[in-house]
Amino acid sequence: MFSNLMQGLMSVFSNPMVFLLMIFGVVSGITIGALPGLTSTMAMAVLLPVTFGMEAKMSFALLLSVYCGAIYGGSITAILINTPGTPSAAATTFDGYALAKRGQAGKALATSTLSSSIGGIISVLLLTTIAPILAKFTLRFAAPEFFALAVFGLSIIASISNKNIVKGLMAGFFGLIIASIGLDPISAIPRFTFGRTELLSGVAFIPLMVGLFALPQCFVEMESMFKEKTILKGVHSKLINFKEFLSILPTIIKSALMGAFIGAVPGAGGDIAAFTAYNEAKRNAKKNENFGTGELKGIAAPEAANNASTGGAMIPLLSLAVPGDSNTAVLLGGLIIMGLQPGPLLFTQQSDIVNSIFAIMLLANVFMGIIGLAGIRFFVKALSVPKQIIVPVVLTLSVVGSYSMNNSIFDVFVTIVFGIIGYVMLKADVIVSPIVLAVILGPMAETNYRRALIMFDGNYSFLYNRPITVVFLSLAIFTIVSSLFKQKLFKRGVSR
Amino acid sequence: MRKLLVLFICIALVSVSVFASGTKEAAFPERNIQIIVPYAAGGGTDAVARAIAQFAEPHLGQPITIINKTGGGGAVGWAEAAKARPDGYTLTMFAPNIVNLSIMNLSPVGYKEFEPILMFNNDPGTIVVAKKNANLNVVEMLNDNKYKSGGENPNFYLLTIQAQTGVIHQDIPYGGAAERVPAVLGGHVDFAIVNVGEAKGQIDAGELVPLAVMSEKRLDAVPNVPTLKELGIDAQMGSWRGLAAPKGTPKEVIAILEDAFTKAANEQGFKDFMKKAAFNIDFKSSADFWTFMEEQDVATTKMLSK
Amino acid sequence: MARINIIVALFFILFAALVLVLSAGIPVSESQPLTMGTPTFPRMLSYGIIVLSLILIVTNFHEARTEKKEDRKRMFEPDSIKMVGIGLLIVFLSVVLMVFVGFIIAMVAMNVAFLFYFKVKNKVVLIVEPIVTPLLIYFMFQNVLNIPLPSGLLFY
Repeated sequence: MFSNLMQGLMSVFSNPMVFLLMIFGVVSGITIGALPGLTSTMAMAVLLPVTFGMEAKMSFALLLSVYCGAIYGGSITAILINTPGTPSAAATTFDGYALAKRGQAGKALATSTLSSSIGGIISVLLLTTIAPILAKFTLRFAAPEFFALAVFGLSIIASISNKNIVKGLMAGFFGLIIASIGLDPISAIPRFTFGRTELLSGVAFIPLMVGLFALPQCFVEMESMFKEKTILKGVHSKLINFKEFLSILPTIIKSALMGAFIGAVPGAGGDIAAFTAYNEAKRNAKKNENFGTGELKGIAAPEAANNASTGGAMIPLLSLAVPGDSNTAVLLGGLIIMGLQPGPLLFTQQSDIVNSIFAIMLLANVFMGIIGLAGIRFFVKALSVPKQIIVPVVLTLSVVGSYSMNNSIFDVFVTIVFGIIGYVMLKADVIVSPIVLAVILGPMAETNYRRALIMFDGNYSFLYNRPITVVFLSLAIFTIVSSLFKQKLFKRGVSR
Repeated sequence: MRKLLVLFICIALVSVSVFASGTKEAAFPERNIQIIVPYAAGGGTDAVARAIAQFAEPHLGQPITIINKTGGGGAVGWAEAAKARPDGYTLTMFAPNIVNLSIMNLSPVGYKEFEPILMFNNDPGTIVVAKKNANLNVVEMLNDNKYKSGGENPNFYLLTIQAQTGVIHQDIPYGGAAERVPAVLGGHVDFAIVNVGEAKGQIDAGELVPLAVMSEKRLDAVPNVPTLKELGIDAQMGSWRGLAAPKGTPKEVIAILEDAFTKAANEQGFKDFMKKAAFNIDFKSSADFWTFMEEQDVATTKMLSK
Repeated sequence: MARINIIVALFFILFAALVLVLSAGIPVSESQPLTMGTPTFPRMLSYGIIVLSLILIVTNFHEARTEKKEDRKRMFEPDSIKMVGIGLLIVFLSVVLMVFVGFIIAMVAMNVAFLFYFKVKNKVVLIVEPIVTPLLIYFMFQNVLNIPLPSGLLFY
């Protein structure tokens, strides 16, 4: 079964240059992922022309290492400064930052590193074995299935709104309205653009995320700076012990499987995978009130899932030539420029390069784990830098990050506006994560719902006569109802 | 004291940046050239821009920077490029939307706000069906409205065909080829019109079958596939890419740019890249490119007014 | 918290009303009769927000009325509004400045302003941080990532 992988490893081991490129790729991927506003897509697109002259194996060593490294890197800033470096690390802020605030940043980072690395490895193993079967399965996803998947993703809002579901849902609806800004994807009619060309393609996601997370965090630090002498809690760079690792291992494996599957569905990426896995880990836990206060499983689940989505995303790319997200779109460009045509024939005619890709991804995840664990010592040091210095640096990065996504000053003002919204929401005790989830999933839900209506001539039967759709919609209802029960909202309503 | 220090730093930086920018006039180009790509990094237009930039740098003797400025299907990037100083240092990549968007009132600028430099490629629409429909007669299919299509909204490929056949197919709105190809493969729609490069892997594997191409001549990439014109439906439409500068750029500068980019485009390395990426090379000089866009403008306006 | 919740609900209702007003101006395409129109989705969401806000008001109404004055939490302390407001103003002005004088000068100015605002006394920090941070970022973007940062209208 793994003989393909072995062959790939052999061919990778035969070239030491590949190793150097991978280490370079992983390190730059982690850095880029950690900086809010810099994305792996940007880094890969910039590196792509550099790889024009390289041999295919080397080119992929570089691109795939950056890809894997960046997805992991996002968790570092999520844990240390409550600002996800990449969208897929948004769910990691819940427990990661909470644990870091308790002075155990080292433990949080170790958990995220191990989970990311193991999650990635599991997804590669899965990729080598069932890629063609899974690819065939995802072809059964038509508009109704995508709609149901998006609704299920949105239902997670109920489960992450710990304190008050109603307020969480309100934030989610707000996010959905924000997501509807721009050109309506079905009818090509502009909505809420106020005549601004910049808004035709909607509010750009990275500036929105930087605004919602990084700015409010800086503002809160400003308040505390003047109010009290900031006392640094002793920062333990202690990692996790073996017993703790064993306790989160089942969560890692389960989340990795979920992440790989979600990543394999075109259009669903690491961000959705991370939220779904977090939701499931929380639902499944015996003491789920610990979630949100620094529970290790709450870090392990999203991190294992988002890195596992990398392997998953390669499935439709390699076997269908269908890129599921912007990262794999760049990889598709890379493959074609190398003269390799992804598709069913790639596995039979170019099995050598496919095996190398598997081996490279496997090794990239291993390197990522090693480099990540070795780096924790240094990452944690960032916490001992005085807030008076950290805040201006983070704000500078926020400005440059939101600008450079699109070379647009407009986007910087978008960041500032959402920074204000995020800060007010923080003060009003409304969580902002539902907005992120809604902006990711809103267009997917609306477009596919309307597309399905057209496909079935305006008939609503697609909501109940397609098995996959029914499964996802039921899961969505289950998630919302069970969260409501947990919050005892119903009980209170009855007793009153 | 501190304020003085701040002032000092500011003055120092200002003077450094003023001196660095320089002001003398010399032969064009004397500093680096920017190409505004109105689509995301990693996409097809971006790939062509980065490739041509690489080959044109030696001919111009200056580095070329690619700036991705996305949004509004290209409108944001083009609006920015049209505003740039017309000195030949800011160029932009063209795609069919430069013509289409302003007709649909979705962009403040159109091709008339620019001077074309060179067109690189034109990928004709290729009608593809799933393996199980390989034996369909394409003319019958296009004349029978029971077959469903999947395409972008508005689907200019299908509109062009419909203008000839008069048959209106149900067209389910999808995004790019990344959404259309799986929709055909999974049997959710009967046919889609894509560029060959976007479906090459599936075509080679026999999972997707190309039935006809919407071009004047047959394509090198799929030589056995007939053109729609051969089959009696004279519908031609492609997705093309080219380079342009803001209107008002001096004629001499345009001539220098056209010369340099034409040389670059004719280099074997660039042609190899285009072939590997399955982009159908179709060079058009500055003047021909303008005429071509005028024709597209007329045809599309007619199509949408129906 | 109950009072804050009610204020939040009122704000959301206001927002939803605004969306409803704006969506009245969106045309409906006639070429796709089988599906819902362009403004339908945001309209449904606005109604959803209004319903949720009403639920929030109803569930908090009793508590808000009986809440003792000294238990009431304020949403914003006056000094935190001032503190954050100044910080926000610095960021905003720096971005406006960036349009004219470019990335480096504007960001140096922003970093200096923040260090003064945070009453940093250490001279080395005061000089090194504002220069090193923007220059390092500038170098990384301009030379490593090949992404040009704004050079400013004045030095165009």
